[in-house]
Amino acid sequence: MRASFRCGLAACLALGVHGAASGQSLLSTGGLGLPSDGVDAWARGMGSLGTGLILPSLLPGEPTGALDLVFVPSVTFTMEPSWGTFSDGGSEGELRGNRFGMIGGAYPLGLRSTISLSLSSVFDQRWQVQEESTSNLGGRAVPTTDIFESDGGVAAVRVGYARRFSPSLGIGATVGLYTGSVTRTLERTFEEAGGATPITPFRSSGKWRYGGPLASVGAAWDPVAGVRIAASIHWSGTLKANATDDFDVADADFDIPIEFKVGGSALLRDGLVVSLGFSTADWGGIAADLQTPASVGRVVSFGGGVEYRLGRFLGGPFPLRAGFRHRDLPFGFGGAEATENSLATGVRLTLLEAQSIPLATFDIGFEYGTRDSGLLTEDFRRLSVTVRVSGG
Amino acid sequence: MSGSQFTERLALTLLLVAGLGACTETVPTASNGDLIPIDPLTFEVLLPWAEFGTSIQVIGGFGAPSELSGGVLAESFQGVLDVRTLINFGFFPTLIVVEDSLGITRPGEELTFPGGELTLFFDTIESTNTGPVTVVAEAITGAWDPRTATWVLASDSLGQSVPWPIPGGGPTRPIGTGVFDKSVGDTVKITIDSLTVASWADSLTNVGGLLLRVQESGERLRLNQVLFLTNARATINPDTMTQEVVLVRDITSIFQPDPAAPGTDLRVGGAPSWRTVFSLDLPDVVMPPPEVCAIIQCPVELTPERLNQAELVLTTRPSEAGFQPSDTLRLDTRAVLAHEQLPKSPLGPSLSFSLGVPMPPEFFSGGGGQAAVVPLTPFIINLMEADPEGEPPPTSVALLALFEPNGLSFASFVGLGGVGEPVLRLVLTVSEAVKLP
Repeated sequence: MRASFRCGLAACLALGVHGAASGQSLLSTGGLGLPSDGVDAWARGMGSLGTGLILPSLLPGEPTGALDLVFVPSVTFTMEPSWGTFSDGGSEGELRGNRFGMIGGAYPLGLRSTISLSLSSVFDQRWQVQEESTSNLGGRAVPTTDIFESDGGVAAVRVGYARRFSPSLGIGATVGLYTGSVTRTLERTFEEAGGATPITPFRSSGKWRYGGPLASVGAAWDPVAGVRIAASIHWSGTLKANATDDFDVADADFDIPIEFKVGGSALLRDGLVVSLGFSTADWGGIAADLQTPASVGRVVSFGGGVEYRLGRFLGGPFPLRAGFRHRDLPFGFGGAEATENSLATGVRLTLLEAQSIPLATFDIGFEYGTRDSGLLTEDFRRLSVTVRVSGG
Repeated sequence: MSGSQFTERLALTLLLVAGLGACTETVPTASNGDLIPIDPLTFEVLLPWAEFGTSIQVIGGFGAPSELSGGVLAESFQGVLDVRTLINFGFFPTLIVVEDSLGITRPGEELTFPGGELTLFFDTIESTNTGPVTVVAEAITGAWDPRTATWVLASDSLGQSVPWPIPGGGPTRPIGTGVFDKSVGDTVKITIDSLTVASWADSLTNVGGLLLRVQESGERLRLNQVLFLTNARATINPDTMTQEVVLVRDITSIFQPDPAAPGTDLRVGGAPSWRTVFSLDLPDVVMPPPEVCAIIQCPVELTPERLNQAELVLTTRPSEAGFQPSDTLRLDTRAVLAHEQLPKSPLGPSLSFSLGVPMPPEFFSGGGGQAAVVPLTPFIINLMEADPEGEPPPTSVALLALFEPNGLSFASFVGLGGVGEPVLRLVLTVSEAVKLP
């Protein structure tokens, strides 16, 4: 078992690093990019926002998720390949990306407390714009192609602590730091030289490293057996984007708003769980930090779904999930407001369990959804895969 | 579940996830240019010579006609130019392998050379004739030095000048003629008599060699290659004759008149070759065209990041009669690494393409007046990126023929002080720094 745990941890690290960059939506072009919702395949499969799930989980966006992960250490990672199409009013194209969702681990401290460590994506900033134009060079109209590329994103590393104070009440808290980087490059290429040599492309680049504090606190309350209600507050200090020494570009600061989350789950009867969640944050304060005008304000997300255990498969329980989720996105396309709606389904394969405690699980969630923002419409399919291995 | 089953399932799971991780990615690409947060502006600036050049000179004497690949024949080309090619053969065979009277194959060393055949290969593009022309082969009767021979002098070395008895390689003795007709082929064959071959084969008497000239006036031929096959016979079997290749030892072209000094013109090429060498001192700022200054703040600082293209624009002139190119000239551009050592300064690697900058022959005939562009982008970027406290980069550039010398003809350009003097063409892009949203 100990060997399996180490093996899983190594695989998590290797795969997590591999998939750290992605580009899954043109909504990454707006503001700080496309926000990650910080959930795993289990939550995604039943439309949950991650708050108030009835079973233990290790979610970067949920400080009380690690409650009850008290028997053995756990590691988990999530990957999210997605694909789809977009139309931005001027062109159509394909979306295909593979996002590293999160990687994390939890370690029990006695039978009531758990500490956790996680690294997760916060904003996806991978996108590019291509524009054809001409430049007047001595009376000749020389065709040019401008490609502006943004590559990178904001991530967060968090340390968490969750403690159960009574059979019905537990609290959790995380502190962390923003990390990650983004490189933005404009390259202008010239199609026809007309001279003795081709015209060298023009490049202008900047690279910034992200930093800044963040923290969250939350509480989970089980008023009756089989019912959990949880709430959490997510605070963020100023997100600082510091230009690296290699580039003569300006630093920038962004005020990230406080986010409130509330959610709950209920075990209606044996094997049937329902879940609901709601979150909100007011992004209006960041408008002054953005050099590109954008319509930003309060955003709301909600979702819900069901999980039903069909029976047993591969020697473990085999739940089937379905749900719906709605997200207002803080940054839209070309400054417009943006929303995301999706239908989801998912399953869990339990690879190993001991005394009804799952020790190795493999969750798969599949979403079909749309995003709308001004002239931009996107259809996307997203596969979420979460592997969790526990052992000691 | 057994441990091995679990390990197997976990491995399969990780393999599946790894497969997902390896999925190809497509960066979402929008076409809406408004999403680009900066708006660069590209424009062209023409700097007159006074704003970037500090010195320019034409230096001749690089190489010699004997270093040409092949030779040139001309008779009153463009009414003025006569050119003859002189060849000395060496390395006649000293033995051949034949069967003796007993039928045994063995080397025969006492050889006679009963005649031979000369095959001349001409460049059909560079040669100017459109119809058949007669190529005349004559035996040179006097000694000559391939490195210093000119139309007037048979040799000019060791401080001693020896003129030809008759200018132009004379006196000579006729050998034979052949006809070069492009419509038939690119070769001319001329039979060489035994007496001539024997004199060439005898190292004591071989002081002259072969002179080739064209008989018809108004043509200039470019000789690419000479193949001489001599007949050979050994005394051990005089009935058997073989053909052996005799290599060319020396070849050069002598011509009259010598081209005039370039004067104020710039000149590149010829044999011996001319080079045009100039130095640059770039301004810190440049003034874009007025329509650009209506958009951005002028003047604009000249930085390597902004420079997309730098070209020296020369205006062509008709080259001197007789020396106008009949095929494309290729110009090379190289940094002068030690300007103070000119004309013997070492040069840097080529700044041009591997085949140089092609200049069509019509650039240098008729009225000239064509714009000839010479690439300087990497050189100027290197100049601008130089560390002020480090080794100063070369500031001078040499324009020269790609293969030097490559022919008697040369390229001519308008020099300083007149309409069409050299200008520096810069393509610049100005943009604000990339920023975050």
